[in-house]
Amino acid sequence: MSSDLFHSDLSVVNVGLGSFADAIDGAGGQAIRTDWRPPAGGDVDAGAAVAALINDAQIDAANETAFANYLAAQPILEGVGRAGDCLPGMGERTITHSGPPVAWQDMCGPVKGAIIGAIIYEGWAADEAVAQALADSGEVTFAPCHHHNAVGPMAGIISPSMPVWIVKNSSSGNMSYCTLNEGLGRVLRFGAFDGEVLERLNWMQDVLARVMDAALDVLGGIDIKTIMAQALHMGDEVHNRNAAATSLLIKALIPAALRSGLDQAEIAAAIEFMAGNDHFFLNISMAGCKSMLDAAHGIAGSTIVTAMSRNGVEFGIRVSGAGDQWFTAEAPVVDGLYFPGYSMADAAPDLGDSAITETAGLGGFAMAASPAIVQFVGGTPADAILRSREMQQITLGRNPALTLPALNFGGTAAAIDVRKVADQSVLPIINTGIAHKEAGIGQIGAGITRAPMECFAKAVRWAADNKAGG
Amino acid sequence: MGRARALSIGPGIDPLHFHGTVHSVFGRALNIGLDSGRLAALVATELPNAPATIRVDPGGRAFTEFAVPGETAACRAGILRFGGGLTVDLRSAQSWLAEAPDGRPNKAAWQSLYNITTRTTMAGELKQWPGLRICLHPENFGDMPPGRLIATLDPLVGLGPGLTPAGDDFIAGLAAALYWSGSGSLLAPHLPGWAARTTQVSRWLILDSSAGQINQPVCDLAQALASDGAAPAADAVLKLGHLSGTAMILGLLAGYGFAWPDLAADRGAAA
Amino acid sequence: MSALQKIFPGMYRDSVALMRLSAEASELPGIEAVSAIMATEANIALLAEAGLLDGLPDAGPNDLLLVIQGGDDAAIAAGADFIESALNDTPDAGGEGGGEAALPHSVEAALSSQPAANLALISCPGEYAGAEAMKALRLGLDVMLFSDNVSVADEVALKTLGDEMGRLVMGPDCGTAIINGVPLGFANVVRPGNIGLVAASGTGLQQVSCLIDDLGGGISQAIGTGGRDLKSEVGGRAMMRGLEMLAADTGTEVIVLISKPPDADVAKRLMDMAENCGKPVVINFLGAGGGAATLEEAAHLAVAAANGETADIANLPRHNLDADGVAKARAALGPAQGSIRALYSGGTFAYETMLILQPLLGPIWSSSPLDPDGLLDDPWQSRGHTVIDLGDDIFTRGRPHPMIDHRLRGERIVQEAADAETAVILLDVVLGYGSHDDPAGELAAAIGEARDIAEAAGRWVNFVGFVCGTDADPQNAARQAEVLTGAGVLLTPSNAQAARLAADIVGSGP
Repeated sequence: MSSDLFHSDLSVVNVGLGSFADAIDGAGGQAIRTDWRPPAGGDVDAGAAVAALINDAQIDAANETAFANYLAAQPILEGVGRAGDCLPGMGERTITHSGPPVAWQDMCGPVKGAIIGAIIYEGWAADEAVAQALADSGEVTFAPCHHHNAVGPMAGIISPSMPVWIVKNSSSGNMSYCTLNEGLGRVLRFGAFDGEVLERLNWMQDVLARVMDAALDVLGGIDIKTIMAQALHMGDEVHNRNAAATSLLIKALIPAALRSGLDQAEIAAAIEFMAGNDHFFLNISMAGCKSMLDAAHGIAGSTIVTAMSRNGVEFGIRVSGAGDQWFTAEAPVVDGLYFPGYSMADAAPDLGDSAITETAGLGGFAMAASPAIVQFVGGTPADAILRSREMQQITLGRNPALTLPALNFGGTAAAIDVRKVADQSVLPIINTGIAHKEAGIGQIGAGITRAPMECFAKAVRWAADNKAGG
Repeated sequence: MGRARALSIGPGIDPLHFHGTVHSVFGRALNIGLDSGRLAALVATELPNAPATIRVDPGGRAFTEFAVPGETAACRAGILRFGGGLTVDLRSAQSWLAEAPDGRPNKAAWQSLYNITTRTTMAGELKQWPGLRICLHPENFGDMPPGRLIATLDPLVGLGPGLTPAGDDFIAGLAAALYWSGSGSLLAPHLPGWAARTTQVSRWLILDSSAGQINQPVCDLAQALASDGAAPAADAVLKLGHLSGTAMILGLLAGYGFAWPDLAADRGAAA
Repeated sequence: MSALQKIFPGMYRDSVALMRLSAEASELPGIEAVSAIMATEANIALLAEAGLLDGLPDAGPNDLLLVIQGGDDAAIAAGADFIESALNDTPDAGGEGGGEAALPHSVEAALSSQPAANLALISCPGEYAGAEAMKALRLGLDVMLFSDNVSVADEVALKTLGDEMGRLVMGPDCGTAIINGVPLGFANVVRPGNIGLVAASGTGLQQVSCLIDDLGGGISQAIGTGGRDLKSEVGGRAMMRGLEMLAADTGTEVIVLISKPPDADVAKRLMDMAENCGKPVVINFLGAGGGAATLEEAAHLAVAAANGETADIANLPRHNLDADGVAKARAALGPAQGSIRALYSGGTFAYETMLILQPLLGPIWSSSPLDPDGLLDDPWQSRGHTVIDLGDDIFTRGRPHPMIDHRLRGERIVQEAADAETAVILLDVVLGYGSHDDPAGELAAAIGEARDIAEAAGRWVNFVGFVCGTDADPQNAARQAEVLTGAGVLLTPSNAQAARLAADIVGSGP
């Protein structure tokens, strides 16, 4: 079998010296210029690993399956339940946290603070000192939310008594969970645990959860993707901009709550609580995204990213074919816009499971729907569109159910392939809030950050080592 | 534009590497004019396997959404990419090859098929073309000497209505039958000349058929003729194109009739 | 003196572009030293050696590092501005609005946007080049791998996979090819015709293609194999595939194989294949067999075969200077002046010249000699008859190839002229795409300076050279020849003739 090169018009992909392309054009050939840079951020071994994975029929087939499962997912918000009863494998002395696994002694300030708060909330300790000792003792088991079908924003702390949203993927049956959003200011997810925080948590457990569950029961569930799709047409990206989605949610819940037969005052309090928090939908968005991506997880040989997550110390990704393995790197400190009086020096490293939204093609990937976000980095609305387009380079395809008006109602880029990230040295973009590094102070800014290349370099090396047929 | 995976691919295309331009686009199929001169067809799953044909699941979309005429279509390492963005993965496509029928047609089956086909409205339409009337009498091919066969077929090239002229379809059916009956070499010297005189689509139809590579429904029909009743298999062929299928069956009958003159004998009442 | 060090994270530019930029910036007033590099380990070491670094910068291989030393802060700021605006002035810069025209970042992305792509030309840094070539191959493209410093193992893996897939892999270290009339890498503009070349040497390919053009013939295809292809470990895979492709190519009637001496098993395999391929094959293995002993002979034999004639290679001219001319050149020399100093940009020319001179003049000194005894102690210092390949790694570390940048050769020319032993300085002038805009002009300047120095010491130095190029090249061979002749260079049509002329001048000839 001989090359047919001599019988075809020469069309040359030029990688490297630009002058070669000029010469080809000048001589009547066709040169395709590239903007090449060393793959995997310059990691030679990872670059070689990528080369072994390109155009692999089995990986591609696995990825198509994973992608199809993700596209077909229909996350339905069914109700609210008790974490200890809902989360599989959650023992009565388990507390889950955001991001990849991390030992208690290594955790960052906000996470430790939130855990202290959760221990007191559970009644396992009466005060901070005893709670600290309990945590030190090893009697409490700590695990990533992701290992228990759950996600949580910022510190992401879930303890057994906490109420969680119950989401079911009606297409393949997988379940996912997330806490209810506490609101802004002094809250557990930023590490605060004073009386106000605990009182609120108790009210949420007693009142809010009940009202929400009853309303959802009346409705028979809410289709999360439908709200997301509408919200994308209304200026939300359902990670850092959730106002429209929250409004749509409230609109659906109010009549149902009113018909639930519960106490008027409690219903009113619940509605006021939601209405006062533009990010109330975020936690539902996160659970919905987890639902879509869990459906894509566990496909042997697939290189699709099914989670991106941080614990304030490390940034980790999960890959469909890699099971429970995390590929981690140091979590970056985000260079964003800081509230007056604060700067990067005050910031905790990147924190939270909320990057599950980007992983599903929303948040930073859907920035074109929410141009105001780019002001965090001094950009223009055109930049927002560029970023959404840029993400198309590293994803398998686009989600036709989640469309972006600014891209001619094209679907948002979805299903990150670690090969494409490493090959092109283009990193997934994440819109994120920034927490103060000390527990309890709260959000001090917001910005746009990129997932670290090291995670993807590790993932492609794993994929090359585990390639079928060697 | 999306991605699709090919289910099967017929002979005549290198499934790993080729280049061409989109030639024509229809609702359930499109043609690519390859650099090699061949036409390759991309067709929806429900259409049958055939030479140089790639079957693909369009996921509910019309092929008119996939590509436009003039667009580049290039296959590299088994991935076919179109200039407009569609990609078709050929790597796991099953290789399809036409299989010769188990044996010669049995007489009853041949005659039954003859009766079915010559009574169709499509046959009636063919009658409107004086030059094509000979096609409606496959029973007359049994006592033709080879020279007269050639002389009879020659004016049929490129003759008649349809994207593939009905005369070419007839020749294709006949050529396949001759190949399967072992007399393929008869037509061989004339094929290049005939192929050059007709449309790009038909050219390859005639050449492929003469090597026994013809669409799956015709193969199934030939197989049915060798076993028992041909009626159900005939339906699948009659559905092809408008007159194409009918003309092909008539050619098939004529070719077999030429090879085995006993097939047409004692036919009973004329149509 | 002031200094500035600046890091541009995630900004990548190729090494040649950066060297050019640094060179331009160094001309600005008040600038003493400028270096813009990608912050790889090797490059950082280079900067540290040059005394340009203040501690280890916090930058990685995908970050651009700029260091400037200058007279005062204002000069440095101006230099930094100059460089920064040049760095940002790329077609893909910024991203205001549209962004539709953003360039692809990978071969796969390029193929998605241009499905008809059929060849990848890879000239990125060597440590990444093997992987890029592998990607291109797996994606179904033919490959020309210009980069060197790719391992043998990678080369074998690429060529093995290429054979399995029916794809051509040219390289690594393949600097030159002409496919379907399109110049790839450093190639000349030559007449199209029916002679196909397969060469393990870029400049060898260039010389033979230009000589064929001179003789009225033309090139169908010119395939490069990379410099290491004919070693046993690689087995001549690319040359075999090239030979196979040309044998099957209707546009090719005569085939020429060019290489420095192959390993014996490979040479045998190739010669057998050539004999059975069905077309006339001219082989020049530079002293290791084949019907052509020199690149010049190969060209003559090929053109003759293409015309259905035989070439009288036994009677090719020795060179183009008559006896009077040679005598005059000799007479101008002083008694101490007896040495040839050959300064080449093409390694194959250096090799060919050593092959020609050694029988005539005895052992030849070199940084890459024919015999280990001829190895120069210090490649920067000539002795006796010396032949240097300035494209060798020793000389090109941290600078562009001498075909692009003539400064190093210019300095060496002056150095040789200052040496009392030097009788003849021998030069190749290689034109074509990729080469300097005006090699003759650059050399003429250096030659002028050299002559002045020699004259001040009461000496005359002969310059002998040849132009490897055609009039159709961007630099125009005829005009380049005029400039060189005007500078007093004795020009011959080929390297072989130049070598023999140099030998005659120092008094070895008939």
